[in-house]
Amino acid sequence: MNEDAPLEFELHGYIDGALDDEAMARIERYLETQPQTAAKVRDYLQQKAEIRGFARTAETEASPGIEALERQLGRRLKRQTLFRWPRVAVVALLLAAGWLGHALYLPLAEDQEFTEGIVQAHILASTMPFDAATVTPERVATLFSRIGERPHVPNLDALGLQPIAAQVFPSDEGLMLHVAYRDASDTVVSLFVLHDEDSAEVRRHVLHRNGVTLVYWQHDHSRYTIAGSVADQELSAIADQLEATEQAVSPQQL
Amino acid sequence: MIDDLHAHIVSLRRYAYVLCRNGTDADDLVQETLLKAIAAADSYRPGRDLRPWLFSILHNTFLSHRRQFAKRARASTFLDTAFKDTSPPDQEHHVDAQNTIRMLSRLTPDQQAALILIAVEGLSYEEAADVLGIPVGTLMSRLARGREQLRRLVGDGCPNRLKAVR
Repeated sequence: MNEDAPLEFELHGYIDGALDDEAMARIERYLETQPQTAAKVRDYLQQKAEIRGFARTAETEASPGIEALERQLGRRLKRQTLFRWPRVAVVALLLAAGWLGHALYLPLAEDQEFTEGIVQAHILASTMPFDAATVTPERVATLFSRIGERPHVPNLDALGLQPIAAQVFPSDEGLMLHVAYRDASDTVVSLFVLHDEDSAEVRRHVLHRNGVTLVYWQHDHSRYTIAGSVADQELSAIADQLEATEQAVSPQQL
Repeated sequence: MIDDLHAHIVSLRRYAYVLCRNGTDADDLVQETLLKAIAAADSYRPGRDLRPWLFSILHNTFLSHRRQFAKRARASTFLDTAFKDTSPPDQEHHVDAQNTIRMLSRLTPDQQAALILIAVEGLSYEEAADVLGIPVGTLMSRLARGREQLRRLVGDGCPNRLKAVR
């Protein structure tokens, strides 16, 4: 190549349209005087067109397996988005909703499966007879350690709620701890705790599903959801109390 | 981003098809990619471009199974080669294209990936480098070497294609 010859990389940039107009024109002037190099570039362009043409033959309908996996992945990614609201998005939503109090109501339709799992677990806890002895300190410690959280059942005595049962169950997001509380009027409120490998701060959100009110938030690695067939304000008060008891746990208790 | 998932999967299938050179293996490759993506969904950061994330999973899956895919493609490659002279004359261009695709499989997997991502998906050099987890300069080097190697391989198979430069 002579002194004005483009670098090999520039020829490929020319083929792929990755150069600016001036460089493209410079290379074209060069190719006009260098038929051998021009032929090589034509070969590159032809092989690129042939690869692209071959790929087009793949554009038939996807197999049912791929379609099913696509739906499943879509749900997982939406759920991931839902529980990892960036701080900016949360602020924007709060402003858009005219949020003034503690909670923001969101119709979380895109989180159906995960939410349904929580709602069903709460409804089961509300309708099944419980043996209060199941919530022993040893059992609680075991259950919390299974999900990777500190062994601590929040004390909701001030609201007249006593823990009546605890269980761990699998969810799409990982193992989830479910602690059911009951008050004197037999109203059951469920606390769900899930340990997230990533730390995040998610402000409190409120949603309604199948007659059950859900309040959820995340602090550090812990994701919390409270469920109950009670008014939003009552559930928010429980969430306040729960957060207060969580903050009261000193590091030595962990 | 997630709303574009279907379009990304169509792209994945095209990419897989050229890598595997047959629909069945491409289907398997995309399915395994999606299974891995579902299992790794927790590692996906909302707001991040889905396309390079999915393509990098597919690329790594292909690399881990490439010997298996190459074995499966061997029979069709043999038959294509053995009976290419029986093709009607008016399909000469089609045979050229088939020869290019056949020779493409002789490049290193990294070179194949660079050529396919640029040719089929029209990714920018930066996007393709992101998918493959390499610097842009490395991507450009693989692209240049891969194209030249492919040109020579195709030229060996079809001498007319290279007569202008020999």
